[in-house]
Amino acid sequence: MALTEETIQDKIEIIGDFKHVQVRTATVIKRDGTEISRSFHRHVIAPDADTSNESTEVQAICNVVHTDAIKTAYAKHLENSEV
Amino acid sequence: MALTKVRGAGAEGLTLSTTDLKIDSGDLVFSTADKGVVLGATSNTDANTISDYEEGTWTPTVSTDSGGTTVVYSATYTKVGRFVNFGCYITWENNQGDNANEFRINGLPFTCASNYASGGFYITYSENSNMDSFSQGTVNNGTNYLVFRTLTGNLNSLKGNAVHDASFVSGVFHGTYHV
Repeated sequence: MALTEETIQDKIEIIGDFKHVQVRTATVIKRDGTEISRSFHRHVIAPDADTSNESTEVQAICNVVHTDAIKTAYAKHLENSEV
Repeated sequence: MALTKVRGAGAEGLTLSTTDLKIDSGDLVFSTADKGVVLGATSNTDANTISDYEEGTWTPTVSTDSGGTTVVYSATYTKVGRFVNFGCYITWENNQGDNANEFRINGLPFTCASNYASGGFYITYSENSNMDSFSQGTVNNGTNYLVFRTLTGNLNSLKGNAVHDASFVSGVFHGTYHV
């Protein structure tokens, strides 16, 4: 009997006016190749976030959707929200 | 009462009758993602369809880059439809507080919806903080962080120095917002 564990980003979504990138990371446990468990961890990348520790795929998506216009709009939104 | 029993490759398990649908054991699994169950309506309307449920963990971080240590003892979420319920128990160092800017706990698992009926949280336990003067806050629309707020006046957001009272601060937070 062989138990294996793998971690995969099984869902990457672009959400809302400010193109937040939502990433779901799944930890999959398999017994002899058959999945017996899957658990999730989530994080969100805002337009002003540091993406240096993100996966290559997520970085590529952020580079496309987090344009200067989006970053400016999000910064303005945060400024207006700070009350 | 008419009964139809369905047998797949394994044991007979699904029973259809004029009144109920019963599954003897196992779960109801859709082969296509984002499909759901219509409740309280006799036609397929989005507003009556529950199509998402998820449990998981998230990683809270404190809004600063001063290099202090944040310890996460627990941080979980449950998403039911559009609503996200979350909780966390964390400890962080006082020097992580940015006294010039709004104090935030970042890292919520989903982005809050972009409307003003966004979300909120309350503090159920704390040590070494000034949280006796406030016990709640908001999840602002279009963001994924918590903002602490006073209990008086316009419920303005708090800076780091208004939150901390000692070197280490700990707190347990629970809240809800929609996406």
